[in-house]
Amino acid sequence: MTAYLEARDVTKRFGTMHALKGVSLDVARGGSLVLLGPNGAGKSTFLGILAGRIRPTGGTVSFEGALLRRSVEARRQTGYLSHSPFLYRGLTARENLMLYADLYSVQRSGARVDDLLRLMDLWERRHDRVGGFSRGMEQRLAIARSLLHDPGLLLLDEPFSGLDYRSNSVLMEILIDLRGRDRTMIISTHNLEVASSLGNDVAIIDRGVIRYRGAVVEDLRDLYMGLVGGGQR
Amino acid sequence: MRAALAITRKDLLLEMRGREVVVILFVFAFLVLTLFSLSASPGSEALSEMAPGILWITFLFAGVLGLGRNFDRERENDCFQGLLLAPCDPTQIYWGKCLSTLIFMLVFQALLWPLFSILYGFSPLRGGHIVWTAFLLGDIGFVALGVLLSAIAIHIRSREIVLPLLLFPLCLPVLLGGVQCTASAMAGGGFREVAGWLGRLAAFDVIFISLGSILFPFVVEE
Repeated sequence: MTAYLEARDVTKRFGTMHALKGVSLDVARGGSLVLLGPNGAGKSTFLGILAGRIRPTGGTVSFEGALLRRSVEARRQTGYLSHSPFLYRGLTARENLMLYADLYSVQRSGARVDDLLRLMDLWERRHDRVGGFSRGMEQRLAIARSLLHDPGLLLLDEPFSGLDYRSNSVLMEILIDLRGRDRTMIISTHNLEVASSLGNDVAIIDRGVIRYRGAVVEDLRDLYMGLVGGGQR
Repeated sequence: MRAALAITRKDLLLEMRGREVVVILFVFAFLVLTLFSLSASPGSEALSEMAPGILWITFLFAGVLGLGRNFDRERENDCFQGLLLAPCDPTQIYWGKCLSTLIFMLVFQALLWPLFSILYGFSPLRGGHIVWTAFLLGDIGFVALGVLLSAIAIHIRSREIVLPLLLFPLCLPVLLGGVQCTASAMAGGGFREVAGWLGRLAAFDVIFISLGSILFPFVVEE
């Protein structure tokens, strides 16, 4: 059976630095994988490659059997949250989402955008320019952007960073709900609690190499510390 | 076309909100035109001969500055990547940005043309149909090349220098055509006199737009 998303022997080099050294992973439809690793482990680079944002130096990534970089369908099906929010600072929250709704051909875009603004607790600030937003608000809007077209595959790079306690809980509820609705998720984090709450599977990556791939185990902390050492914060 | 129009709308909205750029460009253009107009006696033949060239060079410089600003906004928050990850044909991004830059150029020219007429002593209505046809055709060629080259230069550190170095030599046919048409219109010539130049401008537009549409998707691949 073809994996929903499959990475084979993916390498990435930035100059002389090897960010990824032959990473292979596959995720089944509806699966939920948490990428765990310390800062600089290669998580963001790997997610960037899965999203089609970064071209790998070697190896392949395929989406439902088709090469990802050539697949418009993959881009249509992917919601990607990166460290950069992809939001225009001179546009309001609503204008930003409406732009992406047009780019992703979202049906009944106005209603969808308004729903997400309410869900992300940004309704009161919908007509404010993003340039005046705090880091947390920007992150919530970026999450709304990545969910806008109801993607089948969610690639979330440190989605909880910059969020306050309330937003954290709201996002956790959204992600748990999405997991229950057959959405495929790959979430990168260095927070072990996120891994325990959201992952069916976990992959521990360190210095560009997958050290562990398997189910979320009860003693995840011990496993992680044993493989990565003191990198976890 | 939904994506292209959304990008055009977004660019124009941002342009209107960042009005200071338009003001700066207008002041820059005003200074260039004024300084050149003072460099020769008012109403002299030398000034009349130089005027169309001065006008078009001013347009090109202002256009490059406008393009640079347009793409600088795409660099903030990595927005250009956000556009490229959307499931639309990258050509739509190209067309969207071409259209917004074209509208920007035409608005800029609409503001500058009366000022130019006053400074260089002729009626802004004289040969207006020829001048505006030349503006439109010249602008299309300029933005078709400019957007393509701006996308190439977006990740280059010294792009402010690289972009004009790449763009100006390639824009030579646009500059020549624009200057010839404007000069003829200012001298009271009709469409018949400039038909050849307008035809060449239109041909360059077709070539530049075709090249841009074909090359843009390759250029924006990492």
